[in-house]
Amino acid sequence: MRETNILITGIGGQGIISASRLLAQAAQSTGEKVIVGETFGASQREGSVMSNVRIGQTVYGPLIAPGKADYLIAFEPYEALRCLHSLVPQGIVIVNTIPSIPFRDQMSGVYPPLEEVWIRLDEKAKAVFQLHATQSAVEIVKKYESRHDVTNVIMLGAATALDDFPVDETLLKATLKARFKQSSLSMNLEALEAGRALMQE
Amino acid sequence: MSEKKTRLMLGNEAIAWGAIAAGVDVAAGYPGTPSSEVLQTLIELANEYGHYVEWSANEKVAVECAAAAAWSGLRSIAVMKHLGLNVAADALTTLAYTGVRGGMVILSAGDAQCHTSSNEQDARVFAQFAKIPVLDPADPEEGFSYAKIAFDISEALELPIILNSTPRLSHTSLAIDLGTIGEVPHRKADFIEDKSRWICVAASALKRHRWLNARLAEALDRLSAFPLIKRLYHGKRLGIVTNGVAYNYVLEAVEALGIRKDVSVLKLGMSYPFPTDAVTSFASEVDEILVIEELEPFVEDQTRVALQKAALSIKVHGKNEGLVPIEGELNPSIVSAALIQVLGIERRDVATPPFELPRRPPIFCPGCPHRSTYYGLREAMKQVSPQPLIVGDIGCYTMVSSYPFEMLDTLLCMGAGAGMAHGFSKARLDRPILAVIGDSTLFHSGLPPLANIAYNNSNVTVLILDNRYTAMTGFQPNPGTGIRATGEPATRLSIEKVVRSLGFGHVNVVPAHDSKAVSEALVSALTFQGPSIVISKGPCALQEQRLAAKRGEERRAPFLVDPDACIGCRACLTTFGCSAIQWEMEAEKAIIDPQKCVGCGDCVVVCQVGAIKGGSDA
Repeated sequence: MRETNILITGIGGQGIISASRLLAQAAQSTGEKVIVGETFGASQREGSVMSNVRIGQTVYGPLIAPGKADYLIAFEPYEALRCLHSLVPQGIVIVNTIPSIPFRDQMSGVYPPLEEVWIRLDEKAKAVFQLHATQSAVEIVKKYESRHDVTNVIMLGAATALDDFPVDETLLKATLKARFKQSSLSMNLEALEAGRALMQE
Repeated sequence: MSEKKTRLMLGNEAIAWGAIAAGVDVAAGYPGTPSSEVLQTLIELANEYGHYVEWSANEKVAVECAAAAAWSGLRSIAVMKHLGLNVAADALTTLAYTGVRGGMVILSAGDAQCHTSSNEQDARVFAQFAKIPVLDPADPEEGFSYAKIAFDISEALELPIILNSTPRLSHTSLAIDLGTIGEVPHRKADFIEDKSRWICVAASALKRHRWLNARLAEALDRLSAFPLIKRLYHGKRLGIVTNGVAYNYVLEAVEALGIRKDVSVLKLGMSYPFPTDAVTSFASEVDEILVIEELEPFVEDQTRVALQKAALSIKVHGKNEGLVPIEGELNPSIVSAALIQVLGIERRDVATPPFELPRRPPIFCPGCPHRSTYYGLREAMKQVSPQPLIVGDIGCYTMVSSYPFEMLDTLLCMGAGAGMAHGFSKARLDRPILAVIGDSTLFHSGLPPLANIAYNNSNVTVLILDNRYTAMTGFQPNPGTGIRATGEPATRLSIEKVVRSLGFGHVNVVPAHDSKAVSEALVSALTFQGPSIVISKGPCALQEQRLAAKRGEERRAPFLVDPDACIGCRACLTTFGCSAIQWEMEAEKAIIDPQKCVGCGDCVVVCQVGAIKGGSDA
């Protein structure tokens, strides 16, 4: 397989690290070489979090060079903007629509309006998929009376609906089955399906 | 024997498995990002593999614990972040003189870029200063294999070994083939008396220094069988000498620029003692040298020395001419740029600069006891004049520097809060002095400065934020927690009893979630002439939620803002700053996100019109 670089980004607490590990696990189970470079630490307390998932025999380091990410999976729109320079020209963006602006910055107006984010994403990417993943996650979690968030599995599920994405639905399902106990498996499988459904909208 | 299949794991897990494969007997460490998962993994494997493992009170104690095991012939590992080397330095620098009998490894996880640290000091320079050999693995696979052979290397040299990691190794995942982890039988400890070696002082210390120098001089010959050097490609034009994680960026840049035919690569797995012969023989086969390494120009300077000794006149490019930065971490773009410049390649693609957005500062979690404590502190400060100087320390509670508190004046290193508060008081700053320190930092390096404050009668208030865990790095237990690393119960050290026995008379213990009580205790302490202590107690909210979930308890009901009562004054946002409280732009009112709210109710007192409701009023 040719080299594929996937940058997953968002805010600490959204499940970005687990999403990248699930994705990597799925890709690795096919025998591909996979490297995951994570940036976390203090960032888990509502800071920006980035995880670099790199697949292919020619990947060595853990970091995706600027302009080399084939896919940008952003759990928050401003984090998509922050990482947009990493996207290859004509790359693909999957982005959760719910913004989160630190309160102080809400007041100061240093974050551009959300419309500007969409315009900039559209300018750079071949395709931008805006997903209402947060709302969908809230509904699923409520249904299962769970304490866990499933936004990350919705976002990954959505990515499996893309034709060339290195991990498909079957592979991700198998990985979820290996990862989750029966009690939370059905909730996560539903999240996967919800992600795929959001891509059809 | 147990077959372990290949699986994806963090560099830190791979390092831990390397130690397991080497039959480690004793493991000790102090948590610190990015090192913590190494010991965490060893803790999880302790039952299965039978080694002893502990979170020590600090890195120096961890090194001493591991050293005693190694003096007794066992294999041991001490785990810490790079800054921990400084705490352990007193032990380490003399440990090189005595050497060890069993293999001993010190895992130091550095932090190029200061992702989560107050400096980015280079462990290789420390190793040279302490005269301890250092191995620099490049990726998780080498993290595993180097950790495994480091114990053999240690025994071949009778010296401790520093294993030097970075965030891009520790926090990078790769599929690791663990192969067959044999049942390495644990050794029986055996202390062989040798007063000229184990009592390191005066004449014996001088003799041991001579022994150490002789041993370091012959180290490379003794290690010739270990695969620590890699050579790649056969180009003559440029010889790239590289070390550690930078090696990966070199490989990527060479591929991306298509310059395999022009270059040769020499990768050094051990940077001290420096493999002089390997470097000079490599240099004699190329026209010029470019050194690519993170942080200090360590390999670069050593390369210059080696070439000068061999009377080779070859140009060495690198940091000294500004091609490669000393500060921050490297990445493929920086390495490409250096190669482009040295080889005079025409630049192909110009990367677009990132869109400038303000950084998201880390903040206290919903339900965090520190937020309520600091809200109490702010209330107290309204009643104290002149305003106290707030001297910080390292932990979650350092985030009092972030919005909306922004009350911190200084931060230096672990344990420095109380030590410097004492100094500010003796410098006679004309204002009250308040040190803040957490429970884990207190046991790590806060007790000597407290003894110093009490004994020298400093006019200092120390606010101890006791959240019962080493929370910032992943809720590790400390002597105040009540359980050991491997889960068995232990007697909690009472911070109140400790500080009273150190000589503090003015001591108040208050519940962290009662900001009014915190405030009153602080006003009393800050206006008291002489040493005083306020202990604000409340367990880490994240850890409490994790434990509650494990016990199958229901979430506490969220609080809410009554929209009819809210007057839109924003006090809850600008003075309290809980991420569960958000601003509704259109309605111009505050709202509580029920997904994020953990039902602690700390925010109720913040609202002057009583619009925040929940708990028993709901």
